[in-house]
Amino acid sequence: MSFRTPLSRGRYLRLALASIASLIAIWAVLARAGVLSSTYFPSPLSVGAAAGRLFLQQGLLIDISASAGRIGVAFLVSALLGVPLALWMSCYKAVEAVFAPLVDFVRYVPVPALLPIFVLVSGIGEGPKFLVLFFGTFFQLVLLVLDDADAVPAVYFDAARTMGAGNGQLIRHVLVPYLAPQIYDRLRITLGWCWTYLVIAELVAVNRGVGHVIKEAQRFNAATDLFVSCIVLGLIGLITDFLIKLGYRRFFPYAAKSALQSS
Amino acid sequence: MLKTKIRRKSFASRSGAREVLGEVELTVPPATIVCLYGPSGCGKSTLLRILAGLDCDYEGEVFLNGREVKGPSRAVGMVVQMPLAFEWLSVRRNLEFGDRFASAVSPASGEQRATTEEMADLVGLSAHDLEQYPSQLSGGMKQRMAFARALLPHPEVLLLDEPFSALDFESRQALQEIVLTTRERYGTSFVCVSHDPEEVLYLADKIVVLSARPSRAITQFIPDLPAERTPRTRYTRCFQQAKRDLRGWLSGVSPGSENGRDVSPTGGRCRV
Repeated sequence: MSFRTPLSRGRYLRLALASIASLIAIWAVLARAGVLSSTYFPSPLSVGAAAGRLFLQQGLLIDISASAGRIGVAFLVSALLGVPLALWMSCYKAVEAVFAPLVDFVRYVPVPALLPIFVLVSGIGEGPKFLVLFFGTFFQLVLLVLDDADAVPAVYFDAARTMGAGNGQLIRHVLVPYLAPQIYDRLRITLGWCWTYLVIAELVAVNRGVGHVIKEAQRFNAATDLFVSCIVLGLIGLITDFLIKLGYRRFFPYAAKSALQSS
Repeated sequence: MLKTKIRRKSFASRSGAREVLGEVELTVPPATIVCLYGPSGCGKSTLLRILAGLDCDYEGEVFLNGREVKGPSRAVGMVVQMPLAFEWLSVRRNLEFGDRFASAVSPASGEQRATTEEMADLVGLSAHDLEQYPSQLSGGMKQRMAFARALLPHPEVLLLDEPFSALDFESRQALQEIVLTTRERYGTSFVCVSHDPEEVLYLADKIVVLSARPSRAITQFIPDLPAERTPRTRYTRCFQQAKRDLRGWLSGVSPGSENGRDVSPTGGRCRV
């Protein structure tokens, strides 16, 4: 193995698949040998059977789409408000002075601790779920994008200003396109965080959702269902990440080319 | 004509105001290259930002054709040390970047296209280069692109903030030739910051030597070299002597200020 030398796509894929297959094989061997308690650590086969049951008889797909819908709405609102706010804060320090203390304060408050307040404020409908997911991502996203925006070298703005650009044009023609690949990547990361808050969001009065399935599995000590839910969440993350990365190459070919050249 | 008289420029710091520029008086006639020569960190870049209208917090004034410069404008362009590229745009669209801020010019017009290609040709960018992304160009080619982009709004004065210092020897020389050609062809004036005496002597019609911080103009003079520079000029004896003399200014030896007069470092002795 050469230090930091890129692998071909085929070799990378083969190694990744082999790693997953090995993990499942070790798991199967340990389960068969009786090393792991089947109550708490079921075999891959029983997890597979549970997956079939959950998908075919108990409508796991509906749970997944219910969770995805909640995440989609909360994440969209979070991104649509968070990104412009961060850019605004970066451009105008008076705006930063107004919002930065609030953002930093809320960022350090654990979202699960706020759940009872959310329930009191918005009842037991979709409100608290939305608020958990929104609070879990919005403030983090603002900070990440603000840091990126502050790091844009001033020479870019200077160059545009000597070509006649005004403040609005600096934002539209320099700041936003410069930051677009980074914002895209920040959205990818915060979307992952949004999924991690799902179980907390779906703790309160939910009939459908992956978080609900996990909660029920814990309640009835159904380790197989718990495993299936976790694997489903992991797979959703993998697929989403893969698709977003594909989009990165498509939307930002210049950044992809630059990354390829530097690697 | 760019005229400036800076009395003082300072930055606020924890220990109080820190003065970076003292008295600097500068006149840049049309189609002239003025080089600012001084030690690193003496405030040359700050002076350029003032001339560009990017920093208006100073004591003094800057006039361009009799009008006070109160902010940045298309009449004064700037090229910085780092090969600056708007990476999300193709090289062609990088060159045309400034057009979107100009009211009278449509970027898609045929006339504008000709000008883009003319500038690309001037700096040595091929038709193929124009369709690439900047990340696909070398550092030298990127700097050529930055130079052409700054020239496209047809500024009266182009400020160069050590634009060649990050480049290899050949790219540096090629860009220096481009500066001279631009001055001849378009009548553009240049104010070039450098601490490379060879570059200063090769380009300058007038040299302003700045002291260490807080920077002030120690002297200004017209180098006693042939008006027409060719690559051979660099290897002449008087050019080499002028280089040594110019270095002397920074190490405290002031060869050209005998009897208190500001004259060429070679004292008018050099004839090629």
